[in-house]
Amino acid sequence: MKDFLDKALKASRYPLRIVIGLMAVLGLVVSFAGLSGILAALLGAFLGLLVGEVLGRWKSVRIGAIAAVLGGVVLVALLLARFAVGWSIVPAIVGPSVSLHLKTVLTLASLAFAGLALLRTVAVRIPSWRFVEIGVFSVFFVAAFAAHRDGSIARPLWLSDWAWRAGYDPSNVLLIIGAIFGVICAGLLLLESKHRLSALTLGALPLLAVILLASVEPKDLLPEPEITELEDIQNALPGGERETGLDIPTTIGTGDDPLETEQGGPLQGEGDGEGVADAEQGEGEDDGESGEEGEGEGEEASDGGAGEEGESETGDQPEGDEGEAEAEGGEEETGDPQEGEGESEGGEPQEGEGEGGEPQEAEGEGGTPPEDVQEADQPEMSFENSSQRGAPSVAAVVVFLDDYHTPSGYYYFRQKVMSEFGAYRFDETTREDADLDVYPNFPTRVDRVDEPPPWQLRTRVRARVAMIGEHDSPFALESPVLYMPSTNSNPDRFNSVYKFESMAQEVDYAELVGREARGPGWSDELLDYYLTAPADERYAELVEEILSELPDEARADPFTRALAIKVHLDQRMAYTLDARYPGWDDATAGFLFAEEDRYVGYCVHAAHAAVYMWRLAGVPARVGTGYLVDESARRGSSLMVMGGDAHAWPELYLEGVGWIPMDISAAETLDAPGDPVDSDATRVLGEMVQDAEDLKDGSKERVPFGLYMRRGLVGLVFGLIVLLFSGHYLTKAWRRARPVLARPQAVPRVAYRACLDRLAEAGLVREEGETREAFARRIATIVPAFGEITDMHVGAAFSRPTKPDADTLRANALRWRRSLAALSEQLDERTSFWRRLLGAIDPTSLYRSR
Amino acid sequence: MKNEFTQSKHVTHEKAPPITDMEGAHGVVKRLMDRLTKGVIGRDAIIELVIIALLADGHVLLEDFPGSGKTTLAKALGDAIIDDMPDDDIVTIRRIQFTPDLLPADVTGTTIFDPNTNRFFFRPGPIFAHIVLADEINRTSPKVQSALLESMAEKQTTVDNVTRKLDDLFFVIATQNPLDLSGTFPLPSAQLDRFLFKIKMTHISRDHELFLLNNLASVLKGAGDAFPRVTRTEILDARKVVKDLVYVHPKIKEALVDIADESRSDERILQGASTRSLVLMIPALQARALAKKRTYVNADDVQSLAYFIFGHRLELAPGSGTSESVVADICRRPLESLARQSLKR
Repeated sequence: MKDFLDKALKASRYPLRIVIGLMAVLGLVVSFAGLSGILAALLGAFLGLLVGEVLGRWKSVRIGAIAAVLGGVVLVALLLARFAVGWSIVPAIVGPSVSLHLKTVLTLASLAFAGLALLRTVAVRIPSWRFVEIGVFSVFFVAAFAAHRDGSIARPLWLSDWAWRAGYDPSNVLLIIGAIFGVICAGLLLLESKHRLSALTLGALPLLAVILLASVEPKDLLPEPEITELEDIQNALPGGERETGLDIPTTIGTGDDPLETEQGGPLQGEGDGEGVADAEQGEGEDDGESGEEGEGEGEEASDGGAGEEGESETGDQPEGDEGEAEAEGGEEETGDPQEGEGESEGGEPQEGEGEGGEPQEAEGEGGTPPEDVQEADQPEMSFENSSQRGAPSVAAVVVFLDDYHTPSGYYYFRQKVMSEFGAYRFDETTREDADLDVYPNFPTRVDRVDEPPPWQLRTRVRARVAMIGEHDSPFALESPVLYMPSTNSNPDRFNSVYKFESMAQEVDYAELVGREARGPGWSDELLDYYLTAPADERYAELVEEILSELPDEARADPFTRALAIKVHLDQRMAYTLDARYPGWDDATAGFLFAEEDRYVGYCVHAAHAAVYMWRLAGVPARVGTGYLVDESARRGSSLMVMGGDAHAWPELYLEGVGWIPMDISAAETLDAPGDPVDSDATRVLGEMVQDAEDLKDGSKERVPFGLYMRRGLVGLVFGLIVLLFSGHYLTKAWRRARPVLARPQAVPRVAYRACLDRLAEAGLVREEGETREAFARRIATIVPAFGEITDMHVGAAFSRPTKPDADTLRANALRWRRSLAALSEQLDERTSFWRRLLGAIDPTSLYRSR
Repeated sequence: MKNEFTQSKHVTHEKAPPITDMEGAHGVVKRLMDRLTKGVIGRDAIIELVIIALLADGHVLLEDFPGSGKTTLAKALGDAIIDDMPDDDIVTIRRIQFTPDLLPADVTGTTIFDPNTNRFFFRPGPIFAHIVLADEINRTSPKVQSALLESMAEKQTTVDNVTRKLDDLFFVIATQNPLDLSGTFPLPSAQLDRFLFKIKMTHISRDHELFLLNNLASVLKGAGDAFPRVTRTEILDARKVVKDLVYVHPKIKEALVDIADESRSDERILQGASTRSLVLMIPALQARALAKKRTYVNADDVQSLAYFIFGHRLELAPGSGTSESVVADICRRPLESLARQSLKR
């Protein structure tokens, strides 16, 4: 019975091998071949295994000849395949589609056949090469399933689609498949090996695992919903649209009053449509990818409420809003894009986040001005985090070329400024002479900003920006001086890449006091332009009220006035993304005057309010928009700018310093506090940054298929080489260590082999056909101890098998130890150290140890 | 008289207890070696082969020029063996000088009429001895050769339809001259097959020759009584020990079969090794292992004996080189695989 079981087990390696081989081929082929191709490859592989088995046993033919014949088969098949499409006759007879199929079938079948047949033949012929066969299978397999390394777990789409539909996490499915494969491999290895091989192969298993791990990168094994979703959304959105849905430009078009439609902003105008589209796309794709679930499930529970609310609100609002909007100002909706823009820009980023599910978390308001006190950081931080989590789309990657760290902990990347006052909001300027420090277009050459900031109190920072997704203008760390194009090494990934050189602020409040609030070359007209504020009396009254508290000399200083206003806003502001002022024409007024002693709103409100009030206080001001990024998001020289980092902030002008942002930081946050810093998200971010670094340098990401194959092949070859080398060294080490580890009965064999290895490394090799004894005699002048070792070894091998008692074993062990020591000493003494070192490095010395 | 034996003048020791272990058997070999190397200078390897053949119960054919010490060797061997059964009419050593006119009866013995008793009685020929030196065996006619060869194979001889057993320790050292072939009757391969070893002797080295000339007197005297001899019984015991105690691993046997296979498939060889040669080879290997004080046969034994065993048994195609190189060739692969076997479990 046991025999029968043994035999059955032993025999099971044939079907097992076929299963594993077919699995590997399937995994490799399924991603690019159609049904016919897959079937052909499988059939070829199956035949290959059978034929290989037969050829391997047909000992009278050399392996080289077999390889040549198999190569010939492939060549002929490839030629035929070429003719199938290259000859007009074939398509003419069978039709073009059949001829294309024919080509695929011929190519794949012949390659699979020849490849597997060769592997099998070699494995049958040279037992120690069996693990190569299995190694190749593994590499095939991994190559297929590691395709998701580009950041989406879902890369064998057929698999993850199914998994999502069935409600499983594809990463788990992949892991399970991998585990099954691993188990089969291990089982096969164990079955394949006679005793002698098992040690080697078992040693090779972890090695294999290490290599596989190395080639897959563990992070690929983790689900990365954010990233994938991002990509989805990015990809899904039509070209002109904002990848994140946050884009300022898009919002502009909306024409809604951003102040009112915080939540709805993006959704409303194009809004609903887009929102829906988004959702659909999201689903459509997310099926395939792991993306959606991230939020969809994980956060939905908590988030969803809000999100949904948001939506329902949005759903409602549009009507209400529209009604209002129309009622209040048809201009905005229909006509005045400018107005709409100004705010929506500011507003939208937030909305985008809001949509994404952040609203609850977004507590911190816009940004803290760099100068701001620490306490102000907190809300900011959480705001940042939440935004990253909720709307994790990557807007761009910034790689600093200078060693610069912002002193305030925040990077202000200015993309646009809004300085032209409309009815209720700011818009980009239409003047020729205003906002000349903003660079509107992507650089095509080294280009200076028209009006660079003064150099005072600033430090030079250069960086490269790789934009992901559509942006209609570049951004730069304020304040930019110089833009220049840079090579976009990966157009698939990045929309544009440029460098900028900025004079980053290093301002101290004290330095700002006592400066005039007017640019050196400004005309009166321009100054007026920057001081234009709403005519609404309430603003002026409020400003007057604030400034009246200041001592006279302080009142005389523009900066101090501005600061007083800022502090006032800081203290009273309550940050929430839910702020909405439907009944107010002027949302900023709503923000300031709707509640007693409390200003409820978000960064766009605050920015507008601050600018209005500064202007009323006689300080030139404007709204800057762009991205506010937390220092903590930085990894090394790289900084990820997320869509959720979009922000609007007030800026003011001081002579000699130029435009400087001075952000309002809310004292209070109404939105639910966010979760503690999501280390997962941070980690993912960090990795993404790293990734992006790679990307920047060149070559990753969606590579054309041919390139992918080529790279796969190179990787395969490289992997094999690594496998071979490490296998050899591992074997060497193992065999060297064996005498110590072996059972006493096995010592004569393994210790002798260890000696042979050492001799081989020293260049002392038995000739073919030479007996062990003759070999020992030949080298007796160099290593006399080897004679005795040989006798002990051969004696153990060829003498009458007996069961030695413990004493004998002990005595033998001692004898062995002594002889080995002697051999070691003699080798060290009488052979050159360099020779031995060389031998130790040489992996092939194993083959001369016989 | 059965139990006691009178010591001949050669006997220098008491009757030893029967030899049953390797130690004792090796002692026999050692004593023989010591004596023979004393009496025959520069022939250590050949002496060893002869002793191996003796212990393996085989016969040797020495091929050499006249005056190279064949007879000396045989005589020294005879001198080293004590006949401890002196009353059985079988002497220690006999020499037969083969000539073309020799008759079988001259070898085997013949029935003679004794006028005194008016009866025929059998008068044993020279083959009734422990050691028979068959000098110039190829000079005699085939029928004489075959008479001798029957005795060698069967350890018996038939005269006048009466089969008589030869001594258990019947050991033939035949010689032939490789060059002077005119008027000779070369041994057919069937008969060559009866010899365990065919040993080609070459001239001894210069040093040995010089030593011989310088010490001629003492060398001629032989080992004398200074070195212990062995008794016939001891040799027979040693043979038994060899057969029983020296282990031949199955893989060694496989290698032998492989060698025979190789010899049969080699194109240079017209007629490959016979099965009998393999059968004969086993005790030879065992004997060599004993001579080397080993309890097992190893590949070295196979390699060093292969030529002497197979060399005269293989019929080479013309122009295929020396039998030595051919034998080395056919041994290479089996020995290589045998060597590799030792590293396998």
